[in-house]
Amino acid sequence: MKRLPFFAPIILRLGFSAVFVWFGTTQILDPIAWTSYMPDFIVHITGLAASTLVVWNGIFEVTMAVLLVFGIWVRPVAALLFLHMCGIVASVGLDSIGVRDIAIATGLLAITLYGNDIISWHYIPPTPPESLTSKIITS
Amino acid sequence: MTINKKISLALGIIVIVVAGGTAIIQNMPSKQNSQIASVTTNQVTTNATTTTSTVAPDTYTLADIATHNNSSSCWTAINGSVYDVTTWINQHPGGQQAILSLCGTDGSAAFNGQHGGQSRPASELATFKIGTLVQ
Repeated sequence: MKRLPFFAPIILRLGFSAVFVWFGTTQILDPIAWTSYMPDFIVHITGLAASTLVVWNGIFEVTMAVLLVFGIWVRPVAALLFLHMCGIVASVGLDSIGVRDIAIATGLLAITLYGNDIISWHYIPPTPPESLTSKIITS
Repeated sequence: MTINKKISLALGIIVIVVAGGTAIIQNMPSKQNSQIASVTTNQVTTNATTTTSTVAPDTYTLADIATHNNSSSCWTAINGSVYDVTTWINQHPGGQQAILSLCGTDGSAAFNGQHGGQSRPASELATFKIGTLVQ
């Protein structure tokens, strides 16, 4: 039971990665189904077709998800996805989808604050305190 | 490579394969969907033909719409227009249930409550229009 908390950040990270892999892949495969959620102002600013923007959004989400799932640059990647979700919430509004996206954004904020877990690619094991190290060496 | 990195790699690949695979399978055009689309097109043609003798073409009553109340043929009336949203059931980003609940009914309140004032959902909806609603 004492080891259970170690799994919490891993499960959180893998779970959110799966969400973004699914959504990103779906957007790449069927962009037309997602064009209704692309804000008009982004279409006007970029001058690109809404479906093209959806594909690029999907590529971004899949790329971020792959980095997150392997634990590469966990903090910056989770922070980027958190900001991405904040943008989506602001665009969609506080309907049932928007509220669900707030939950996703909150989870990503938790990952951002936690950083690397024990099986993250960039995990650095904590070094023992200096006093303890010297004791081990002298003994 | 440390044991932690091996575990990370294995779990990462599993997550990508499962989530990505699910998305790919769900977006594959199935034979069933094309059959549904074909049946729906036939029904639209048949209804349009049979109604021309009594009412104006492409006009439907709520009774007509009520007969298309399932996932095989899903019609809904929104703000005075009639839409065949059968093919949209599996594509709706907010989930299938949101569309299935509108099948065979006047979905104006539900649509306006969810997407009122948003131009994109309205333009998306317009692509499914098959006629207008009459009393």
